[in-house]
Amino acid sequence: MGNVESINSPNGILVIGGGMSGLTAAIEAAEVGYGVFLVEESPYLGGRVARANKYFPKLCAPYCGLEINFRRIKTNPKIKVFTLAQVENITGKEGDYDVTVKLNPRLVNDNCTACGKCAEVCLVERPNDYNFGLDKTKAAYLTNLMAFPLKYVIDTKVCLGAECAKCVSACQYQAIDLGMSAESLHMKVGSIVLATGWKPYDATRLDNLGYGKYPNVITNVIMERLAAADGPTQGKIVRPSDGKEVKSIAFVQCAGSRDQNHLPYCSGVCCMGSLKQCTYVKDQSPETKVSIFYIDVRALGLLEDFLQRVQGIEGVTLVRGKVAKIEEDPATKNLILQAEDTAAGEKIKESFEMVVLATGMVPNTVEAKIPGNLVYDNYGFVAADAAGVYAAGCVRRPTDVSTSVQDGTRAALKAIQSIVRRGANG
Amino acid sequence: MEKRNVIKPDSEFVRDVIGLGGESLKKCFQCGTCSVVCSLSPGDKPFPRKEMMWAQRGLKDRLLKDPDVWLCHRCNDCTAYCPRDAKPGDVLAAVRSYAIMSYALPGFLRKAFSSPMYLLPMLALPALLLFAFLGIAGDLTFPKGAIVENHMIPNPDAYIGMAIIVVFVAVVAVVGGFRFWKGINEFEADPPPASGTRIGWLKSFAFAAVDIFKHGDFGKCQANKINRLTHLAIFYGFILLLLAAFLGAVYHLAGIESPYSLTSPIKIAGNLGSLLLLAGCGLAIYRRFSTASNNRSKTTYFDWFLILLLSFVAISGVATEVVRLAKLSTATYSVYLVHLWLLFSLLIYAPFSKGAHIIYRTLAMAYAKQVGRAV
Repeated sequence: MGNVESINSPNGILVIGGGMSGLTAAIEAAEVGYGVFLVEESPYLGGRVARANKYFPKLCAPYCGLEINFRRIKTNPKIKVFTLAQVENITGKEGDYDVTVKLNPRLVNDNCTACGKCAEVCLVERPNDYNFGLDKTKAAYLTNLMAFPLKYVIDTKVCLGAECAKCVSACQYQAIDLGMSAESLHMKVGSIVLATGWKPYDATRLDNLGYGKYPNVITNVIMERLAAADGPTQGKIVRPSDGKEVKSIAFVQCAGSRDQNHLPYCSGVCCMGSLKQCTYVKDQSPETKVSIFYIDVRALGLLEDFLQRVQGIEGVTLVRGKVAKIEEDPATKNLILQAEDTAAGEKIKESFEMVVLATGMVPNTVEAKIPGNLVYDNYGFVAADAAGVYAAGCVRRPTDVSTSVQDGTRAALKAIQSIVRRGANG
Repeated sequence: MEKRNVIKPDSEFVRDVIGLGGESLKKCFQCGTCSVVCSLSPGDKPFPRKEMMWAQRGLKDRLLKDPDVWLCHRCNDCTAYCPRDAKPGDVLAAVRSYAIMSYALPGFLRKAFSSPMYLLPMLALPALLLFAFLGIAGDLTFPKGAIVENHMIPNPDAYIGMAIIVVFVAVVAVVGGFRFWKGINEFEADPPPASGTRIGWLKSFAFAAVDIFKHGDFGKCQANKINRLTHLAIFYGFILLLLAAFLGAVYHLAGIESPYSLTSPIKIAGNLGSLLLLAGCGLAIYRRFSTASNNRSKTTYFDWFLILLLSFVAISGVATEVVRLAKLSTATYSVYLVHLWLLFSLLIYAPFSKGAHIIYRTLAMAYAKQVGRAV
């Protein structure tokens, strides 16, 4: 471990997680005038929203929202952002938290202009986790075109180091420092916002649906990357097995959700996600056959309108019945789906060129709980805040982007109140 | 006039099915996973999703006349994959228990199976009948001299006793079977005709018999493969024992008297049958106590009654032979008496207990073959 840095900010707020909820909480608190430390594990801000193609129901690109937030950060000196940073330890109590953060080395300093010369000369490739491994990047890479901070990052796990150093000589801005090592950061803060987000349910555990076994069975989050202009296929929805444009596609709802054997709860967003993804497919290729297999379509409130719009698209069929078996035709790599059409009372056995599993959300707090008195429910979601620690977004319950934004604001207010109350009392 | 479908829910029936082991039935949210993962369910009007709906709605009449309930072999592939833990395997088993009790006559015996609190009188009844019979036929003392079990009951009386049992069991079984057959055919016109081709009834029964002898349907189960082995052992054990009983009558009529040597066909059939029956019952009991995750189904009183009665019949039969070979006269006759009592119970209760599935499942399988519903 390299240098040890220290911050003493008893009226400051630590925000853990730089996704939509955390970003919002950090910015809202800072704009009220409180010092905020935003700690994000990955090299970029925006979390899973950044990796989506479009928001529902307005179908605009996520960056139109993220960009505004990044600008608010840039113009606000109250926010300090740490990327590639992991919270290692939290001790203390409301108003007096001691936090240890590990700052992992980026190997690229602030001189970086994102010109990309380093990646050009880099010899090593790595699977691109941002695109779920569908393509590769060099060891020196930019996570995405709109990355914030707009700086390259070098993957220390695969970089050949000083022996190679081709990037060091290629960079005319002296932005690369292969000697950087992890640093430890100690901070004293008054309150904490926990917004560590979610991950998709592990679809390989759905042994009857073939994900991981058959290349053309993908998940909803992968579909977002396939449809995104900055994704592995430049936005063309094609099959992973042969790069062929998809002429028939099925969406399998509740893949592992509302299921006692997997996630017993409903994630609430996957129905809308699939309806949205129908429009991706239909916009690219109106003649493609689309089927959605569902138990119940959960398009609540005003979202009903979006459901009706998608139902009205020619060639979109909604079938009430859960897909319980997927097999692959080895010759064509097409998938044969089986479900019971419960409205008609007959089994369906139908072939599709690609299948999207609508997997649900697992809170990251299942694996990484923070020290303190937060109360978690049976599924790992934060059920109740503790004094001084406030949860926001998908660690509280599965939710969509706009609710996460509202949730971030709520947590910011709670964190501020915690500090103000303490000031008033003591 | 336009045909109207009026649903008549029977909440009493729902409670009964729940009481017979179908307590999870209300959890079902009709996703249809069960129908897909079931290897025995046909493509057209598959089961058990629709049966789960009917059970929730209390459609007793519809379920009693549903052959599909009997095509289910409770391998529990459905239960393993059910996202709601609604256990369709258990619910269908409960519906079958209900159906057996509904079809069997007289009604008071049917009620006797509904709860373990009737167990004592139920077991006392055949014991009393047996004593009465022995009292009429003989003098209620154990025979003297060489140990020959048959000497306990003088021969013509033994045949009369046997005939009474067989006629009783056959009448109840035939009446139940007839009522069931009429029921399933009544509804035939209602669901759309099955996709397969129709075959004649003789052919359909032949195909069903072949399936039963091969246990082919059991072989399609995924979640509970041990079921096939268990049932095969019990099934063939039972058949060998029936053969031994038949040979006993033949030998006797031919004037060849017991005891028979251990290498005679009757003894080979009897001993092999007993061992198979014991092994099958052992497996059935073991499976119910093993905690494998795919084996989450409930064993009800209705199940235990048959499994344990079968087990005790087999055990007492083997025990009789052992004490006879050990030349313990009083012990032999005592154990044999117990064996007779248990066997008598097993036979007279067969049409009311789980054992009655022999009739209903065979009919349902034949019907499925006939209308092309079989997979």
